[in-house]
Order: sequence, then structure tokens, then C-alpha cells
Amino acid sequence: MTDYEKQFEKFARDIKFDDSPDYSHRDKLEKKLLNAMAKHSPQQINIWRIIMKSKITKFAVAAVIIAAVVFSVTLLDKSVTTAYAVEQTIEAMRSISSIHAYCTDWDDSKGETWVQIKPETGEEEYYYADQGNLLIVGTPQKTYYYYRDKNLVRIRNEYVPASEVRLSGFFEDMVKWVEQHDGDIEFNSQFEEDLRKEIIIVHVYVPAQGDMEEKEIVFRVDPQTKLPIDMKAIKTGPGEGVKSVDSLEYNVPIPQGLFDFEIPEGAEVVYE
Amino acid sequence: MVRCAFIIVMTVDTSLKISGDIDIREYCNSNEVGQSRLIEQAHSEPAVFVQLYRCYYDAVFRYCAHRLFDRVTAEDVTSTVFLKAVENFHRFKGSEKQFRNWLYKIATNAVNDHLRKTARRKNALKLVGETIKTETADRKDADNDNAVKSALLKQAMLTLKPRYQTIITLRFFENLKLTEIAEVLGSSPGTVRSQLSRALVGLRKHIAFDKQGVYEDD
Repeated sequence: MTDYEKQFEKFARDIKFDDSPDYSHRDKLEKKLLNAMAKHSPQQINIWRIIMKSKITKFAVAAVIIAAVVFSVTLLDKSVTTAYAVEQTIEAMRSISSIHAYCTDWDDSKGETWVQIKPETGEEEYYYADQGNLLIVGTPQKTYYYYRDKNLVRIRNEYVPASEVRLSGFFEDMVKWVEQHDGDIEFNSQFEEDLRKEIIIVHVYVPAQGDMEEKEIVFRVDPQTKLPIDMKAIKTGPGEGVKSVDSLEYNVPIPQGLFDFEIPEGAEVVYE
Repeated sequence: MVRCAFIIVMTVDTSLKISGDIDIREYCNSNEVGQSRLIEQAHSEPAVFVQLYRCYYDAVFRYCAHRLFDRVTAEDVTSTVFLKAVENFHRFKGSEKQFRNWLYKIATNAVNDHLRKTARRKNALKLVGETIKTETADRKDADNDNAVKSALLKQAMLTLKPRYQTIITLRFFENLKLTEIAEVLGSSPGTVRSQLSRALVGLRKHIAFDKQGVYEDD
């Protein structure tokens, strides 16, 4: 190493750059990568393992996936072919224009989520997730995050999806995933006192594998509508989804102005 | 009983734990453990690829920032780098260390593309020349010296060919060995050594040091 090289090395080492990574950019890019991987990976299903971190995702996607799974279960129960069942399920998913869910997380915090879906594509269009301290409103142009305790609003000039994928594509991908993993699902019919009617009980068990912990989930399905009424997780890994989806409603008219986010008075606003 | 498996939503895994019980924090800080295994897993498990991404985001971003002297542009280029990495990852067959160098290679191409397309080099040169005067004139505090050095470096670097800029950045800011730089550039260590020497000659025209190694502010 020459003298100049040594001197330059020291010179370079002493300079303090403004080069600290911004982790909001990292997280944002991570989501883009997930989308990109969904397009490029031959095993698209695995993207489900790394859906977003926020509760909104858990809530909204929980609602949707339960709908998807139960569609399939009920159709399969009628001994139709899987392919036909999938097709029918996809069609059924497309008939859903909104989902309204109340959820409880493992810390017993409550959340309420509304998702507006484009029936023709199954893609989500708007969502509203009230998670107590955090309110998230997703619109086609912007996504708002309001932290009530800090009176802080973060705004992203894009739609940050509640789910990383088209809802209509969710089921198709899930079927592939089902083929790759060993799990069991049982369903029985029983009279439920609280609902005063016969309903389908779906009991799901997935053994621990890889980085996924053992899961046991029960959900109840209305045999008339083929749609789930609620869901309860009995066993699951820490931080892996909500404790329960306490109620699910479909195609309920969304309250007017629900997705019109207004910046609260005095709130600090951060654009990202 | 119908065989089925599902509820990925119930498996939303926000932890840093990845397949095979390797903790990603340890993994990122490790230079030895199980790397090739993770690369293998990443080919079939996007979740693992995301963990690798988290490991290398900082390095790629910093490299872009050092090459472009602008953090916003560096973020844009970093996005391009990883999106290209996703697109081409199925072709990558190598170890974890090679993966890092592969990312640097993509980053180098992306940065050079950016410089070519935007003619940023010229604009930056002009801007830097102006900034040096204003920054140094206005500031008398302890940061002044850093600001002067930083601006001087920018100015000097941007006079070099992109390949020389790459070598200087990888060598002095990312602390890569000559063999590693050679791998990034698809060249031999000997060639990199001689190009490094030429790059330093270029820098010397703009950044000179006195006998004590203190840079001379002319």
C-alpha cells in the first residue's frame, strides 16, 4: 500500500456520511419485493408466509382467507371435484364486495376492519382498520396511519395493500400450498345454542414445520351462506395472527365517508 | 377427513426467525454459519430471500449513497438493485459471500446506469463546486471540517471514470478486499490493483496530503 493510499484510507475513514438507512424505505421496498417475488417465483404460495406485519393485514387477510377456505371446504363436502370447487370458490369470492370483521389479538386488544373489494377482480380497493391506538385507512391514492397517542399522521402516497395479493388469486395460490403441506381439516355439523341453528364446525390442524409453529384453529360456518361466521385460534405461534375473528359480515354497506380520512386538528403530519 | 393445509394468515411470521432455526440477527452478523444453506432455501422460500434482503439492505444502500452522494437517489437505486435481484435470483448459484458480491455487482451496474441516464455526474460536479463554497463559508463549527472533506471527496470522485469510482468505493468505504472487488467487477485482482492505482492518481489531483497525512486545503 502506498503512502498516498494509506493517507486516503484514513481521510475516507474519518468522513462522516449521511448514509444511515431509512428503515421505512426498507420496509416499503420489502413489500415491493414480495409482489415481485409473487410474479417471478414458481412457488408463489410461499409469499403467504410473509404477509405484512400489521394487524390490519392479519385482520383483513384472516377474513378473506377464512372465506376462501370455507368456500372450498363446503364445496368439497358436497363431493364436487377440487377443480370445480376452486372455480366456484373463486367465483364466490368475486361476489364479495365488502368484508367487515371484529378481531381480538393475543393481548386481548380489539380491532375493527372494513375492506372494500372490487367484485370484478377480487382486488381490495379501500380498507379501514381501527386497532385502538392505530388507525389505518387505505385509499387508491394514499394510505394514512394515525397514531392516536402521539397525534401523528403518516401518509404514504400510494395504496399500501392490506393483503399483498389479489384476493381472487388468494385461493388459487392457497390450493397449491395445501398440496405442499400436510395438514388436516375436519368438519362436523352441530346445533349452536348461541346462534340457535345448525352450523358447520371446521377444525383445522397444521403440524409444526420449518419455521411455522403448530396450529389449531376452529371456525364456524353458516351452511346457508357457505361463509364463516367467526374463527378462533387454539394453538399458534407468538405473533402469528390474531387470536380470534369474532365476527365476519359480508357485503354489508360500508358507512359513508369511512375511507375519507381527515387529518385531526393539531396532528403532526409526516409524508413518506 | 379432508386433507388440507392452510391459514397462512395464521402463520404471519414477523419474527426474524428463519427456516432451520437460524436466528437472522446472528446470521447477519456471522461470517461463517450456514450461509449456503440459506441461499439454497431462498431459492424455494421467498421468506428466506426477504431475510437475506434485510441482511444486505444496509450495505447496498450505503454503497449507493457513497456512489451517488444523495440519499434519496440512493434509495431509488437500492430499490432497483433488489428488484433486479429478485428477477434474476433463479440464475444465481453461489455461496452467501458470492451473493453479497453479486448484489454489489448489480448495484454497480444500476448506479452507473443512473449516472449515464441522468447526466448526474455533470450536475453533481457543478453543484458540489457551489456547495463547497457556501458550506464552508457559513460554517465555523466542528462539522465544518467534515463538510469540507465530504464535498472535496464528492468533487474528486465524480471526476473519475465510473469503474474507478466503483473500485474506490468498494475498497475504502465498503472495505472489500481486492479479490472481492475483482469478483464484483468480473476482473482479476491484478487488474483491480492497477486500476486502483490509477484511480488514486486521479484523486491525488484533487485531494493532496501534507507530510503528516493531513489533507491540504487549497
